[in-house]
Amino acid sequence: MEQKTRKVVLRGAGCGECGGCYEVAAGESLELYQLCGEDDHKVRVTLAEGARAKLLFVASTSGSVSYDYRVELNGAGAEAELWGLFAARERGVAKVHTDMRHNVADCRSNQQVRGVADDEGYGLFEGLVYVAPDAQRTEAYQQSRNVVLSPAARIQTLPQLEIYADDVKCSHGATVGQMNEEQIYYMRQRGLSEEDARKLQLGGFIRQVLDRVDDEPLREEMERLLFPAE
Amino acid sequence: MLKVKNLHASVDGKEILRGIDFEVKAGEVHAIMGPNGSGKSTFASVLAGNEKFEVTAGEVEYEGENLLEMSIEERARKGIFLGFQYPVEIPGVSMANFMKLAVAERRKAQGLEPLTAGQMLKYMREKAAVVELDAKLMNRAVNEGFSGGEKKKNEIFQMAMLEPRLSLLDETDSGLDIDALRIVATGVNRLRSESNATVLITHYQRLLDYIVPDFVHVLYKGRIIYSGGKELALKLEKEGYDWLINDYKE
Ligand SMILES: Nc1ncnc2c1ncn2[C@@H]1O[C@H](COP(=O)(O)OP(=O)(O)OP(=O)(O)O)[C@@H](O)[C@H]1O
Ligand SMILES: [Mg+2]
Repeated sequence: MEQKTRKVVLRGAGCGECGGCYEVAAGESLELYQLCGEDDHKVRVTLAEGARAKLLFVASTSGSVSYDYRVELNGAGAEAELWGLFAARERGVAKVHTDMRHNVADCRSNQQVRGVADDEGYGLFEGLVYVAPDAQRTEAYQQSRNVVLSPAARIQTLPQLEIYADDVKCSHGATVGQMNEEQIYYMRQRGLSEEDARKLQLGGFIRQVLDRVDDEPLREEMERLLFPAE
Repeated sequence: MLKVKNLHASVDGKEILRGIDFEVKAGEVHAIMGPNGSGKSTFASVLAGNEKFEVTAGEVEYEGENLLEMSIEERARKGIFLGFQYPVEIPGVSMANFMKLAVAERRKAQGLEPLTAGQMLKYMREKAAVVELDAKLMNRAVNEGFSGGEKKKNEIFQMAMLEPRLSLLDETDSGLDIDALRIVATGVNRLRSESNATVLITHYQRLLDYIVPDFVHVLYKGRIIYSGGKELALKLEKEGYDWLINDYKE
């Protein structure tokens, strides 16, 4: 089936206070990419029957940034993917709030959000999955994975499931960890400097989300936002 | 090439290596055997520079230099290669990218020109063929989702890529079926030369049918308690370690 796809890229200060409201009509699809380093941003997406949305955001800051995504699955067969990366450096604060609302039956959603905090940075992920009483045969997945790179950095993750239907497939997971020292050791044993090994590992963590961006210049722009020094 | 004298090492205050003496010359193959938990992997890790272990006494000389003063990566760049008993998975880091960086470091240390992208690709294909490793694995993340056998072959592939002078292979034969064992052993044999040396840590004589060692050592409770020729491995396989351990107790 041919789908009509709308592609939107929201950048920097240009996102304004509100990333906007998007209604995706039956059978159509939306791809939304957002990359910002400052301010608070709200995005609202509603999906009609069989509509699809692929949402991917990158937030990286040494100041303060917050994202608030609400996705309403309003028609049977609607599907939403939400991919996100947030990074807080120096004394920066990055907050992400997501609200995935399964209002009707037979919809699918998948949220994969990763966070990194360095120096004295603070990151927060709050992710809600709501499944209405009639929303049978819902499939909803959510994963929050985070790494803290320094002793003073912090990340909090608060996944939340509110499920009122009984025939659903839902799973969620959340982890906050440090760099994996076994991996660093392995790479150094092959001759990589400790710094290169750490960079490669962090790059790998981020890449698992960035790989979802097919547009190469856009992906590189996101990488630059995440590693501003290079 | 390598001279270990009275090496002691501990982890979390617990002494694991309790006075190891060990010497390897260029061109030699040594096998280290010994019961579980005797300190074989620890010995290899200490030689590789794993910071988890603390060296509390002893000396290690590698190519005339003090090995214990070198960082993990310096040792690697100078040609020490450790084939891990449990190779580590690194999600998100592709084999190709990882090998590109590792080979660049090794070549720099050898005073060789860096390889162009095209040369690197060809080199990687060539070496993957040595251990019959599917070249498609180069596009995957390091060891992620590799089968047990593929992980072990991948260690020997990396060894082939890095052309080490001293290879420490920690149970590279464990978990391999007969064909894979033959492939891995052939790979190791092809990399053997007069100027490099290999230390095989193993529980099984069958590996030593393929890679014939010059010396076999028994490590027990953190010490090398017995050394002999290749026939020692056969005797150990038949009789176990009891006769030695009892001897050692007396
Ligand atoms: N990180 C650690 N913390 C505490 N004890 C450790 C640690 N690493 C190793 N040990 C202990 O040191 C001893 C030697 O372990 P090692 O892995 O070197 O044995 P091994 O000879 O390689 O055994 P195997 O044949 O089972 O591989 C064991 O008793 C093990 O429990
Ligand atoms: Mg071991």
